[in-house]
Amino acid sequence: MSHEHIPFDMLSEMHDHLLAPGEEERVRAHLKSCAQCRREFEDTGRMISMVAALHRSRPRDEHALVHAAMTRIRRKQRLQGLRRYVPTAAAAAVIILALSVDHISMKQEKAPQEMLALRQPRESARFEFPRFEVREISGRGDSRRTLTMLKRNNARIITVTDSTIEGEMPAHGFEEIAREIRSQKAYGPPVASREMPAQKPAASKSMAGDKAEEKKKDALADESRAEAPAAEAEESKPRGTMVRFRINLQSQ
Amino acid sequence: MSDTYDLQVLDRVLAGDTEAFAGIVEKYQSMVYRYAYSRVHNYDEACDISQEIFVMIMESLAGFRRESKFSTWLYSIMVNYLRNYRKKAARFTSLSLARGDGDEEYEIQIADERQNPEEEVITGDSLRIVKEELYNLPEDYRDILILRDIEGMAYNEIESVLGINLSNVKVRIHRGRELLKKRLGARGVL
Repeated sequence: MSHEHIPFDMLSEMHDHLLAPGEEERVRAHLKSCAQCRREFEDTGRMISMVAALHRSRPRDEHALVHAAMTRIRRKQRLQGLRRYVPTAAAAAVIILALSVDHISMKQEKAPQEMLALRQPRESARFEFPRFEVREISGRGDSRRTLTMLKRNNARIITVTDSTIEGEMPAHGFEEIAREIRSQKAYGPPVASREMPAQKPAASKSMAGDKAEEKKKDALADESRAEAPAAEAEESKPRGTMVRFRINLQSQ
Repeated sequence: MSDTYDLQVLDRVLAGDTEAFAGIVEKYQSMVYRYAYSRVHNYDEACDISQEIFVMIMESLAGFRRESKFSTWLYSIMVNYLRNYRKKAARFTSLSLARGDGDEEYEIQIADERQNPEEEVITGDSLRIVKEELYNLPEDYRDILILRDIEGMAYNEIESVLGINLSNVKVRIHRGRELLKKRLGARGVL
């Protein structure tokens, strides 16, 4: 060994005291006589010392690192604790949900009428189109006076000619106007109400004399009797009913 | 603080005293931090990794079978964590410490008592070069020199921690030292 240099691994092992006692003695003896191996050995030792000095490298704030690590550990443990309850909590949530759904469906079965009542609109909120009756009356009278009467009773006048007035108005007010116009029939032929569009034929003018007058009176009396139930029927009509009228006026 | 201390703390923690684990963190934090820093070369990241390693150790405590020293078991977890971390992150770079952002200067705290007259003075500059060259060694050499020369672990302990046989441990240590010595010589440190 004295003529050969010592391999690096033996020098390295010698620093770690891993050589067998006899082997170590031989190396030491060689180092005494070989400057190159001695320098190699010393350099290796110095390098190991310098590397070992890095042991002093540590976190700037050791307390902070301990605190941070423990905080993480606590948080993780809390999460793990929660995770243990997750299956139980999930099962409980499913059961509660199922019971709630069941309860709601039972309620619906028990009170379908109530639910329907809730779903339907209120009576007052419903809109109904007015029902129209078509009436045509004839009489003798002044058209201006008749128009004034109609307007006073909220009639909507659609057309006015020399001999006819057409329009619409609430049924409950129309009958009074009709009676007023008919009361002037003493000067004209009897009139009867009927539905449009059939035009009522003009009253007969062939009657004359006293007999004719008497017949007219009788006819008036009959008509008055016939009108009474009609008026009653008019009163009994619902307030929403409308009359679409046509009044034929003959000049007096 | 011997291994007995570790086992006492371990018993307390397993009995439900989580706060006792702070003793373990306190004892091993510098070592874990140094090892982490040697991998990532970043102070904050090394601190973060250190915390995660302690969380993992805490979670694995029940699996410690007391067949080896607690410190050996702890180092094994640390080494494995960083192996996986490297695979996961894929962002480890061989940054030259000379090109660092300067924060590494803070985490080296050289005690003056080390520089006694009998020893050759180790200056801050030469130490920085040593650190730089050590961390730039191939991974196999770097890790083993950190465990052996910085942490002072025995060969058989390193064998357990790294999971390699004893002859491999020896070979890696000697080759690592030889390479480092060559590099430090080239930098004028030796």
